[in-house]
Amino acid sequence: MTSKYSVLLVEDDLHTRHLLASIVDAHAQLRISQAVATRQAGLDALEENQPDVLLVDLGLPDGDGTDLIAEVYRRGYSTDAMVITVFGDEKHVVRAIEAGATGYILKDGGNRYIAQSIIQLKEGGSPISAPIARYLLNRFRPAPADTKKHEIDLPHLTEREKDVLSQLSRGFNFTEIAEFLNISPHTVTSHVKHIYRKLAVRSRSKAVFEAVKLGLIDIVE
Amino acid sequence: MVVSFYAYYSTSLTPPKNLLTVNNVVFTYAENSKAKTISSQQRSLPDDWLKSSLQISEGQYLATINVDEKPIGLWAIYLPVVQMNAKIYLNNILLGQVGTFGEDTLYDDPFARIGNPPFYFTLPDNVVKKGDNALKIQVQASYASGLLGKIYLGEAKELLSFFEQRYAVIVTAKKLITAGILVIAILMNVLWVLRKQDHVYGWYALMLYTWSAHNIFSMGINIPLSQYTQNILALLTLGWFVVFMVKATHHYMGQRFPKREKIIIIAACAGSLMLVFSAYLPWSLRLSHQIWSTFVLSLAGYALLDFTFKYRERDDLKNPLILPAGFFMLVFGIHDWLMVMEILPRDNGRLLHFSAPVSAAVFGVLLLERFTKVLKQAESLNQVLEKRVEEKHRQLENNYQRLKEMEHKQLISEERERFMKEIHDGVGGHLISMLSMVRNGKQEKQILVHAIEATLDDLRIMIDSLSPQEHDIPSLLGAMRMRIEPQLKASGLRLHWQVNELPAVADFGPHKALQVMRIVQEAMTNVIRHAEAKNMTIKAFVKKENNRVNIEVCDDGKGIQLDSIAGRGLGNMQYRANEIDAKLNIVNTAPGTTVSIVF
Repeated sequence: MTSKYSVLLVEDDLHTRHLLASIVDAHAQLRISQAVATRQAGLDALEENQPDVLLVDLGLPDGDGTDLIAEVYRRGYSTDAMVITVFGDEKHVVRAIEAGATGYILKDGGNRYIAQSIIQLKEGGSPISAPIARYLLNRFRPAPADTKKHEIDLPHLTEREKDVLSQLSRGFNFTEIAEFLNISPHTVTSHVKHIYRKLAVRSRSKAVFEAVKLGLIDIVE
Repeated sequence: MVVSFYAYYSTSLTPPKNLLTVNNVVFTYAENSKAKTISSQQRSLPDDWLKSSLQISEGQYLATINVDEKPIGLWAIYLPVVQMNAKIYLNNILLGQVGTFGEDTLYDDPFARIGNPPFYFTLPDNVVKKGDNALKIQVQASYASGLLGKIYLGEAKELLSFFEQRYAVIVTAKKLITAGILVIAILMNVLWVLRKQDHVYGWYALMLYTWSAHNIFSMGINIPLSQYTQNILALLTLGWFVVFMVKATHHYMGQRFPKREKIIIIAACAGSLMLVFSAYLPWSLRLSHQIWSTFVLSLAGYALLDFTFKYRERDDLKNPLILPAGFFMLVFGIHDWLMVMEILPRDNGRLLHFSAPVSAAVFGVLLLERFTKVLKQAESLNQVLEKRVEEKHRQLENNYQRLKEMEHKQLISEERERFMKEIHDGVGGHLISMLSMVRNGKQEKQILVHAIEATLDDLRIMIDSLSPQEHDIPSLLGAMRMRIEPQLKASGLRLHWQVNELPAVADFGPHKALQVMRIVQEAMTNVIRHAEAKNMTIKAFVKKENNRVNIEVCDDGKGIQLDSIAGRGLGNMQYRANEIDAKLNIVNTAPGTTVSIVF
C-alpha cells in the first residue's frame, strides 16, 4: 500500500472542519494527521511533525493563517500549503501564495473536487483561476521607473510561463493550453506551481529588503 | 584737482627764461576810413582792443628787437595769442600769415577769431641781424575785438617745446575732448533710441551734440561758413547747451517744471534772436555777447544749484562724482564769463571745454547706471511674473486634479449604489424566496439546493465584478466558465473557447462588469437548457472594421423562436444591455443562434 499523504487541517469553523476532515479521510490516498482550530494549535502541530499537506483557513480566531504557511517555509518542510477559501478571490489567494502557499481549495467545491485538488497539488500541479492568472501577470510586470537594484535579482517569468498565464487569464483550461503549447496538462499545472513559488520568493525578498532598509536586519555579505 | 589742473595750465603759458620777449609795441592806425593821417599809440602786450575805445578794424604793430649776437642755428618766432588776421614781417621779410586777408571772398572776414591756435614760425637764415631788428605785424580785426599776446623770439629748440606744450593744451586737448564728447553723445543717442520713454537720454545726447558743435565752431576749423557766422553759432550753441542741460537734469530727477522750462526756452530764443540781429548793429555785438554769456552762466548756475539741493534730499541721486563734475563746470564757466566780462585778461584762453570730459564722463556713467538698473528691474520683474505664472499654473493644475478626483468619487458612489441595488434584488431576492419556501414547508431538497447554488453563484459573480480586475473582460469570462463547468459537463455540450485579449472598455466599472456577466450567463444558460445544441462557442474579440469589443455566445441548436422563450429572459438581457450602453444582437444563424454584446 502506498503511503497516504498526511494532512494537517487548521479550520476554526466546527462544521467545516468536520466536513473537510471526513472528505480527506474518506479518500484512499489521504489521511488527516491532525485537525485543529487555532493558530497556536497549528504551530504546535507543526512543531510535533512535518505533514505532507497543510490545509489552512486564513481567518483564525487567534491570528492569521498565513503565519502557519510561513512557518512551514521557515522550518524548511517540504509541506505543500493550501488555503481554504470561500470565493477563491484573488486577494485571499494571492496573500496566501505570497506567504508560500501553492494551492487553494474552494470550500463548497464538493467532496471529489477537494480531494482531487489536494492530490493534484502533491503530484506537482497547482490550481488557478482566470482572475488569479491575470493578477499574477500584472504583478510580474516590471515597473520601469522604480526598478530598484534589488528587484533586478528577483525571479521573473519565463516566456513559456508568461504564455501559460496569458491563456489562463483568458479562461482557457489546462487541456486546451497543453494542446496549444504542445505539452502535457501536467506540465501546465506544474508551471503554475513554479509561478507561485516565484511569487513567494519575490515577496520574501521584498520583505527582507524592507527590513534591511528599516534597520531591522543586517545583511552580512 | 582744480588747482593742480590750473597750475599745469598756467605753466604752459610761462615761457622759458632766456627768450627775447616783445612787451612794448607801437600801434599805428587810421582813425577812420576817411582819415588822411596815421595815428600811433604806445601799447604793451598783451593788447586787448576791447580795452581801448577805438572802433577800428585795421592797424599795424611795430616793435624793435635787439639781438646781442648774430644767431647760430635755427631760430623761431612764436606768437601764442593772435586773435585776428595778421601778417608778420621781420626786417621787412614776410615770415608768415594768420588767417585770410580779404583774398578769398568766401573766407573774407576780418573777424577776430576767438579760437586761433598759437602760431610758430621758424626763421629763414640771415633774417635776424645782430643789433636792432624791425618787427612789423599788419592786422585786421573787425568789430574791434582783436587781441595780441606777447611775442617771443629765440632758439627754435626752446621755443618749439614751449609752443608744443601750449598747442597740446589748447588745440589738441580740445580736439580730443570734442571727439570724446561726440562719442558719448552718440552712445546716449543709441540708449535713447532703445528706450524712447526715458527722455533723459535724449536730452543728454542733445546736450552733448550741442557742446560738440560749440567746440567745433570755436576752434577755427575750416568750415565753409564765415567767421562771423561761426562765432555766432559758437555763442548760440553754448547757450542752448545749457538749456538742454537744464532739461536733462529735470528729466533725470524725474521732475517737470513746465512753467520754468517755458520761460527758459523763451528767454533763450529771445537771446538767440538778439545775437543774430546784432550782426546788423555792430556796436551791439559786444553787449549782446555779454548779456548772452550772463544769461548762460546764470542758467548753468541754476541747474547746478537745483541739482545740489535735490542731491541732499533724495537718496537715489547720491553719487559722489556728481558734485565735483558740476563744480569743475561752474568754476571754469565762471572763469570764462569773467573773461567775457573783461574782468580777466583774455589771452589765457577759455577753460570751460576742459570741464567737459569730467562732466560728460560722470553723467554718462550715471545714465548708464540708470539704464542698467532699468534693465535689471525689467529682468527681475520678468522673473517675478514668471514665478507668478508658474504659481497660477500649479494652482490650476491642482484645481483640475481636485475636480477630477471629485468626479471620480462621484462615479464610484454611483457605482456603489447600483451595486447595492443588485445585491438587494439578486442575492436578497433569492434568500427571501428560499426562506419563504422553507417556512411554507416546500422543502424539496433539489429545489432548495438549486436556489442556494444560484445564490452562491450570484455572490461569486458579484465578487468577481468587484475585484481589482473587474475591467478585464477575458478573466471575468474565464471565471464564469469555471462556475458553469459542472452544468456544462452535465449537459454534454461541447464548449469551444475563443477568447482574445481585449482593450479596456470606457468606464467599465463593477456595475458594467456585473451586467455583462449576467447577460452572458443568461445566454449560456439558455443554450444549456433550451437550445438542444451540441456545441457552444464563446467568443470575445475586437472587430477590425469598427474597433469595437464583441462578446458572442453561439450555439448550433434549434434556434430561437422569439415568442417561445419567456419574454422575461430576453427582455432582461436587453434591459441590462441598455443599462451599460452596449448593443445586444440576437441573430438566427441556422443552425443555432448567436447572441452578441457589442460595446
